[in-house]
Order: sequence, then C-alpha cells, then structure tokens
Amino acid sequence: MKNSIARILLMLVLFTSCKVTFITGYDEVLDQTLNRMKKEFNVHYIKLSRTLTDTDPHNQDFTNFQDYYDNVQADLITITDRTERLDGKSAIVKQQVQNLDSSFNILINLHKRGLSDGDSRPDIRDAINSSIDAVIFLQEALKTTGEAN
Amino acid sequence: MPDFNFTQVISDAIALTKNELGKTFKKVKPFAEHEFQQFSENALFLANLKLQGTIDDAELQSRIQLQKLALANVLLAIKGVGIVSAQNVVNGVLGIVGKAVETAIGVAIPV
Repeated sequence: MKNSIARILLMLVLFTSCKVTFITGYDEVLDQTLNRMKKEFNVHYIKLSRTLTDTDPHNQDFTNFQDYYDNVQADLITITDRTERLDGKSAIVKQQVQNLDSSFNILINLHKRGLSDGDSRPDIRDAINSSIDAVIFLQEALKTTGEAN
Repeated sequence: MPDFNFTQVISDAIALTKNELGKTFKKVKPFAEHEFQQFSENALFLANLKLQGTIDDAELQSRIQLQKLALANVLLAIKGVGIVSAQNVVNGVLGIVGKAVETAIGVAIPV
C-alpha cells in the first residue's frame, strides 16, 4: 500500500504540467495562403502552357506574366515571415517554406531566361504542386495537434 | 482506495503507441508513393529532353533542382508527420496515466 502511494506520488510529480509539444508550426494564415498559391500557380501554368504550345514565340515572354510573379513573390514574403521564428523541430515547416521560395525563384529565372515553344514543361507543374502539397500535408497533420507559434 | 493498476496503464499505453505508429505509416504511404513515382517519371522525362537536345545543361540543372526541392519538401512532411505522431503517443500516455492517477487518488494532474 505504502509502495503504491509512493509510486503514485512520484508519477504525480513527474507528470505535472508535462504535456509535450515536439512540433508546432500550424498556422491558419499559412495554410490558407498555400491553398490560394496552389490554385493561382495552376491557373498561371494553364495560361503559360497554352502559350508554349502555340506558334507565337513571344506571348510566353516573362513580361506578359509579371503580375503573377509579383503576386507570388509577395505571398512568399508573407509565408516566409510567418515561419521565420520557428525553431527546434518546428523548423521543419520553416525549411519547407524556404524550399518553396527557392523553387519559385528557379521558376522565375527559368522564365526570364526564355521558354521555347514545344515543351509544356509538366515537370515544373508537378514540382511546384508537390512542393506546395507537402507543406499543406504537414499543416493538416499539425492542425489537429499543433498550435501556431 | 483503488490500487493504481500499473499493468493496465502500461498495456493501454502500448496499445496506443502501436495504434499511433500504424496510423503514421498509413497516413504517409499513399502520399509518399505518389510523390516518389512522380519524381522518378519526371527525372526520366528530363533526361530524355536532354538526350534529344530539347534542353541544354543549364535548363536541365534548374529543372532537376526543382524536382529535388519538391522531394525535399515531401521528405520533410513525412518527417514532420512522424514527429506529430510521436508527440501524440507521449501525450496519449500522459493522458492514460493522468486518468489512472485521478481514479486512484482523486487528484487531477494537468496533462
């Protein structure tokens, strides 16, 4: 009996205020922004691939899509800022956002360099979608157990 | 006063752990499989474009880099989900213990 009480008291001490959070990083603004970025990217891709499969070599010029890229860069600033202070295991979300930022910068540079007709570049569509989906996937998992930092 | 049933507590905790780890694998398997498949297909697609002379080295590098960044994000998501599940296990066990303590001695511990 004494042994039981001692063990219970020990557990009481050990487990007081012990709820563990290994990873936070769920952010509603981040989640919503990502979903919107995904849609806008796919609209952009549909329009761009139309220009890549026609006979006009200039309608895919970067300047014709400047508005889209300006908006996406603004979104990247927003989501980068929101994850900037995540650290420890929550830095996973920050790293994901950094990778996404790098991906869009590659896309922008590729487009500025010039995109020739004949190749609709489905690999680029897939890569950007996968990158965004991966961040959303983790956000969904965090939604039920994590909390915004 | 009822005894604190350590055997039952541990048994429940183990059952929870198995359950959570099982869920983690089930959660990520379709996602991971799809993404890895897509990555392989796109890598092959790009290699063929280079072979055909459709794209040069610089463009190949950039487009492969996009694939690598996407894959990195997928792997980070899988890692993150694993951590969330581990977190769930610990918190679940704390919940089981907390309930047992409250039953045994009538004290609610904040878990």
